[in-house]
Amino acid sequence: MRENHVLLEIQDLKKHFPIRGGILSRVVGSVKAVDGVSFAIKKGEVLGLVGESGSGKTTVGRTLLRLIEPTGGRILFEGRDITDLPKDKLRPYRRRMQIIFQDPFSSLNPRMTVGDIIAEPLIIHGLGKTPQERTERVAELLKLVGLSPDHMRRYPHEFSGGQRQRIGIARALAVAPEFIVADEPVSALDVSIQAQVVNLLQDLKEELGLTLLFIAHDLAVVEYISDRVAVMYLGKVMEIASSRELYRNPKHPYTEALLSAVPIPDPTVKRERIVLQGDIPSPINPPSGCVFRTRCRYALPECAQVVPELKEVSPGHYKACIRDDIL
Amino acid sequence: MRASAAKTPQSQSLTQVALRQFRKHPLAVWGLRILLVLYTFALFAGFFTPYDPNYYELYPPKGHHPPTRIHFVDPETGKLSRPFVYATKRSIDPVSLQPRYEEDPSQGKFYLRFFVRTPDQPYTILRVFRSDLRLFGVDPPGRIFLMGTDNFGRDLYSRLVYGGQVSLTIGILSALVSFVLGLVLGGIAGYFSGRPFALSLPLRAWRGRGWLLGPLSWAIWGGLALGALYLAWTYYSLTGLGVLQLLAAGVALWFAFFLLKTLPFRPLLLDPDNLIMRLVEIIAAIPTLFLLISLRAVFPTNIDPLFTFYLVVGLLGFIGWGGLARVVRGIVLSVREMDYVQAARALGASDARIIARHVLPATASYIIVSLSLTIPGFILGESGLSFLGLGVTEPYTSWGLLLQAAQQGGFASFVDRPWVLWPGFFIFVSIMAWNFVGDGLRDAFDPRRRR
Amino acid sequence: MPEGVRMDEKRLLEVRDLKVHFFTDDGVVKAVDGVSFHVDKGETLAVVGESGSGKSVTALSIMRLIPTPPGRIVGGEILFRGKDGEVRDLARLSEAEMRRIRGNDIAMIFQEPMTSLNPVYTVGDQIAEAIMLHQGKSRKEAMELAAHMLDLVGIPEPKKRLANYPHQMSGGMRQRVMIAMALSCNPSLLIADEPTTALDVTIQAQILELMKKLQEEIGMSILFITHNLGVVAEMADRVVVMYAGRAVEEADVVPLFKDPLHPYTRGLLHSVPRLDLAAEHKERLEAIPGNVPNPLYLPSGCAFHPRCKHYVEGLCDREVPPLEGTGDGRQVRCVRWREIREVRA
Repeated sequence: MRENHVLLEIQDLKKHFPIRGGILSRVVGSVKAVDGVSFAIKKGEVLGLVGESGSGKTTVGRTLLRLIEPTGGRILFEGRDITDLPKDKLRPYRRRMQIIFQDPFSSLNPRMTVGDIIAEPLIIHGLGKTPQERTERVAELLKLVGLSPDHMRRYPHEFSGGQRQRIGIARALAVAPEFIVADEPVSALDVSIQAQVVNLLQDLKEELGLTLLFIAHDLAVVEYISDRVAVMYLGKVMEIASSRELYRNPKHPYTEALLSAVPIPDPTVKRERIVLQGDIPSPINPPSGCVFRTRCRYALPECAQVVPELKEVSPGHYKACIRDDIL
Repeated sequence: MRASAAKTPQSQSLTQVALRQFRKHPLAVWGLRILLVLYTFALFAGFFTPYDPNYYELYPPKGHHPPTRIHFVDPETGKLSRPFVYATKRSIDPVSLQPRYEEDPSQGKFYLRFFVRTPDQPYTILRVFRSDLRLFGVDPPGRIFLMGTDNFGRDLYSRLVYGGQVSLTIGILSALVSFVLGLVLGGIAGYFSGRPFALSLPLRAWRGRGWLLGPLSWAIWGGLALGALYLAWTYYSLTGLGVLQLLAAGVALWFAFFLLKTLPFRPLLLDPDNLIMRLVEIIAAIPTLFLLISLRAVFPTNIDPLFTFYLVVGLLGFIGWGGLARVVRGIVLSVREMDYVQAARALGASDARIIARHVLPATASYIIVSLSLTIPGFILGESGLSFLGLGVTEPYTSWGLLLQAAQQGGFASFVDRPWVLWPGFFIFVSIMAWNFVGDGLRDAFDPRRRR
Repeated sequence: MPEGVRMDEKRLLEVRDLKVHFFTDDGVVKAVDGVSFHVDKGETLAVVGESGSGKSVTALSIMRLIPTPPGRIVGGEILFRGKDGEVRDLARLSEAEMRRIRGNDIAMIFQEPMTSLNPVYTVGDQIAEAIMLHQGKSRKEAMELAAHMLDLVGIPEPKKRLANYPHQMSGGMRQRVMIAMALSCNPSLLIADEPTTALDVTIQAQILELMKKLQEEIGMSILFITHNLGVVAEMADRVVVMYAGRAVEEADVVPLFKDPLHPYTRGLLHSVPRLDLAAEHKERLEAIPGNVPNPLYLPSGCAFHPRCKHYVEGLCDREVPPLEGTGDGRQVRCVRWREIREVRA
């Protein structure tokens, strides 16, 4: 069922974390973690969300699940606005949207057995009436993610990082969700294990018809799993395009630099590298105009004045840059 | 697929790992053994003691009797014999006017007997099981005082064991009271930190349940504001105008004005974290002993002894919860942000479920450790109170009370009858034992200290 | 102390059959179990491996910074040629002698730039301290040199930055400071333990460029510990691949990437997502099945055999294969490397 309809859409999503200071803990400023992000994910699609630390990609993931309350903007799930739904009305949606975490060590409660961890969503949503039914379902889920049902009675600390990540995936799948936010699911794993988890997610996506938001800082991993990729920098989307298009034909200077910064595992490949100067600016006080202009090698004086809109440069390829004469 | 999972020999929960670790801590294991012995004695006090703690004879008086000497060698034959004691004769030292006791072999030997019955002095275990079977004793009129007697001639050893019942249980009970308070208040402070409770509903939130709760909250707060105004007015009308009256009126007016200004437009917000932690700080800022004494002073001294016991438990518990609450809050604050709690939220779990399944269990190991480390403090606190005469009263006894009795003869009493210091020794031993156990538990639960 | 240990003239460091074991409650963890390699003057040797491979423990052993207990160097030699030309066995030096080597002859930079700088001292104080300690310079001279070092690692306004505290700097800046500190005493060997793992790609690119530039200017040797094959390809002259406490393959960087001999090296290279391949090859990653083994319960024989697709029962799971020379200056620890190579050719 590959329909062309949009499953999830965010419009101008904003999340500003207040900074309190002084004796009276007044709000003295805010961290603009996410500052006006819009995109839509079609059913059955994998959208990759790439960015460096501080780009706000994790906050986007958590805000659209309403784990963090947005400061502004709208979140639409199947066209329904869920931005302001109260807790009890949100619960049915919780079943349909799930999350996989980055850190396989803090994402599982160390005091619960693996069986209990995976059964918890079933209990919360009243799936599987009897303990026996639940045990069966847990065994099924463990097999689905490539673990053995015998592992049910073990504790998380007895597993390696990759296995824990599989347990986390099984927990997310327990409620049979349609949409999953995978928040850097492989960045804490060993190289040889990363590939396993990426492949597992790919298989599950095919098998269960999942829609994924795949958040990562590793551009190479994202390319393998994503249909489309969005690049974020300092709380804003710089570029969105289909995976193939973005990697082969990046239109935004930041994407270009990001791609060239990734070391290639082949000593014979020699290429000219664009080394970005300086650090990522503070999201408390981002540069005016285009947030990337302070490190951009194509920056013009106008870049400081105009906040570039995300505009279509070729079909399905959007970029937020006022310069059309480059790249 | 040959790829096998990590072959760990058996599945172990974190608790099992900690227990295994605990056994590797020799001091802690010894502490635990000592505590087991102490608590067994306290539980079966009647069985392990030869006399009722309040039993004494008017004639012949036995006040300040030294520990009875137990003979293992028969002086007549010079051979080993069954252990026995002699009866004693009392005289008064002409210089110090203190009683002196000398062995009197003329009354014959009184053999030490085991599992004797004393129908005249029955006892109960836990106030339920009646018995009169005692581990050891000698036939009257012989007496066995393992640790001497007090000024009335009551057996100090028996009193010590019974005193241990009070001192040792007060430690645990007070710890439990402070544990409940600390856990609940610390938990609330931590979990709801930054999510203030709304204590009233502004007009525009009057929908659904708000039609009931909104006016209700207004009524309560409006009532409070009027009450404050009324109090200020009465204060003024009773005492006339003065600086204090002006101040009171000012505060009341400000309060009323603030409420009237806020209620219709904004909810009254109260961050429980703020409230509870300020309370903890206030309690912590008052010296403990001073606070204990002042709180105790609120209640009369001539109340039922049993009530006094619970009162002491309550007081100690009330004073001790602050530290625990502070740490529980810290743990809860950090656990609240853990990914597994976020995962539970993403699954739509309720606050109650998250607290019960994820947050509270995370504090368990800390609480166990903290409890075992605070119990000695409570034992000391009880001793201190009893020593000052504000704690447990007769006919109950406790180690603190016994120590207080010990120092009644002034410093000379320690020289004349050093055995009265035994309770001090037991306080010391039990506190050391608890501390060792606490240390051991802390190391066992702390992965960084694992060797 | 064995005097007159011999070592090839061009070698700076030679590790021979190093064994580092950790004695824990659950048993003995053989974190490093017979590892040998050498670093020549001016070259960069990369040690690659996943978690539990023993690569970091190897690095720490050279610095003699293994937490003892539970860890202990139970065997092997670490021969190092000091600035004075004398060859010493670091595994047997006294702590006092070792202190003179650390920082002065061998310097180390760590993964976490947050925790490896002391938050209560200024950056200048921390760099100057090392200089005063090893070179006996006055505080003023040391501060001047510190400013020079900051300039060298590309920190703008170095004089001003000396007065900064670590928390006032970004992660990339802090790693630059760490490098400045490490290089301030002109070490002949720099051990870099995952120096870019905690950094963003754009910052990683900056730091790698910087390290290459500095090596050209100063001429020190680098022992580069990493799990990132891309970084290896970029930085290394020679590579040692480690798995479960042993070196499984050693080769120059180009042949290693072109023609990996050990099945693990091959698997690793194939499981890495690559940006440089054409999109047609990007359907699926070739993952190595199974898990990184628990160091307490290592598989018998070749530790990689449960995950290896060339596994032969009775052959691979019996004895630990020896590290074999292949004739062209490479070494591989696999009993079947010849067959595997032929099959592929």
